[in-house]
Amino acid sequence: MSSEIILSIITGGIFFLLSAFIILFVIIYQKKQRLFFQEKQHMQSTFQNTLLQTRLEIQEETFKTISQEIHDNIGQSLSFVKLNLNTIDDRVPPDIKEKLLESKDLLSKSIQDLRDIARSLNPDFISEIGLHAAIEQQLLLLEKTGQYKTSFVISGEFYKNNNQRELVVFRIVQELLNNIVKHAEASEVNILMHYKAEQLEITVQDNGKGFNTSAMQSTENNNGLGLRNMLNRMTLINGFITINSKPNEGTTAIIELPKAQAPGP
Amino acid sequence: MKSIIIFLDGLAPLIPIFYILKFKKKGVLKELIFLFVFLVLQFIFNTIANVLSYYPFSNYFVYHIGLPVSFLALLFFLNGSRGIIYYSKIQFIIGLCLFFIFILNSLFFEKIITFNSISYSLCSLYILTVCMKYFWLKANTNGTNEILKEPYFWFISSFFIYYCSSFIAFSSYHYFIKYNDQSAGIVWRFHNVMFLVMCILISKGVKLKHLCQAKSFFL
Repeated sequence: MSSEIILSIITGGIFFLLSAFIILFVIIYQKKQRLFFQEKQHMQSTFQNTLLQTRLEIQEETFKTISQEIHDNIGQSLSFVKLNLNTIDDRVPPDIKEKLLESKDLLSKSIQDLRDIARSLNPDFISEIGLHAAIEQQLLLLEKTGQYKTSFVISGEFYKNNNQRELVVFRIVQELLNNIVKHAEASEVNILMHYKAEQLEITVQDNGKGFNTSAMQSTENNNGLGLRNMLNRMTLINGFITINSKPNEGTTAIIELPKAQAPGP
Repeated sequence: MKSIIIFLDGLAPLIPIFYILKFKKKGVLKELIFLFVFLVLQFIFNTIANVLSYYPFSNYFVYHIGLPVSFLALLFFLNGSRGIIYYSKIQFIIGLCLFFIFILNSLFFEKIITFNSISYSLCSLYILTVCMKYFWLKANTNGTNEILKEPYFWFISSFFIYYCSSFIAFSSYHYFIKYNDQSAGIVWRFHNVMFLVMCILISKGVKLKHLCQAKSFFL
């Protein structure tokens, strides 16, 4: 009888050990699987960031090239044209003289506009003058069109951010202003730069026709593509952007850039 | 209870057989044809052996015929799913060699008047190596799939539990018969319970196989 019990215990023990082996195997396998997925996710996120960073670098390089081309070629050519116009004899008939003066004015304005565009495209220039001066210049350009009333307020204790992070923020502000010009039908544009203790907050506000933000979140069309691009770029520099808008109530975009100097692009 | 356990090895294969036939239309039977043959053979030979045990003549010859035939079906099943369970061609050839060894053993060594303990033990060892290789390779590769949702994990686990636990029953059968008939009965009943466990695990695998088929159909 006792040998039967011993035998039962042994056989039961064998079954228990085998089951334990399989359970242990499943646990090890699942742990490995979890690690593998985590690693994969990390690699994906690193890849996305690198891709975005490269895209931004290429974009900045392109802007720089265009800016140099405008300044060195088109700008120079227009300056020569202006010089030639200045050398035309004053003793021309009055109607031609008037047209000449008009042309000179238009030319001067075009040269100035081109210079402004070249500056706003040049990343070195933006780094040189700083973020708020660059934004202010953008608002001045808007103001010059005569269609917009602008205001620019800076509050809080100023601190300098990393040049690359400032450049990304500036491009986003530029895109927001560009959207206002293209779609908002606004007459007022206000920008508030608030240097908080923990982050820089930039509010870009207009009194335009606004839009339904839910349409922007749709992935079916390209409505939300611009916002997603802006969001991706902000994520790259550890920042965030929120857009609030309602039809006929204008649009407010809030850019948040944490002060913490996490490794940026 | 005792008589139920005695008949377990004959009845248990009916569970996975039922599931394979249930999902026949989903292509499961075609995919698992050799496993199905293995289970049917197990059902037939075990039932015959159990019935014969009530008559005054030996049923050992059933085991001598049943082992090589069902082992062959199992070999083809493993070979058919080589890519999924890491079963190599060499393993298959070794398996075929074993098949002939089983026949030779029945003809010249452990003849049909006795239980073919060596053949069963060798069969167990062989299946164990296949299972261990599977577990080893699975544990050392990056798992992209949920292991508990893989049908072959359940199949291999079922073979592993049954053949590993039955190895003692197979290898020590002569010893128990010689010295203690009652112990042999206990070991054999334990073997039958393990056989039921194997069939339940195979059924789980078949059910998952059906789900996999349905998934790939919809994808």
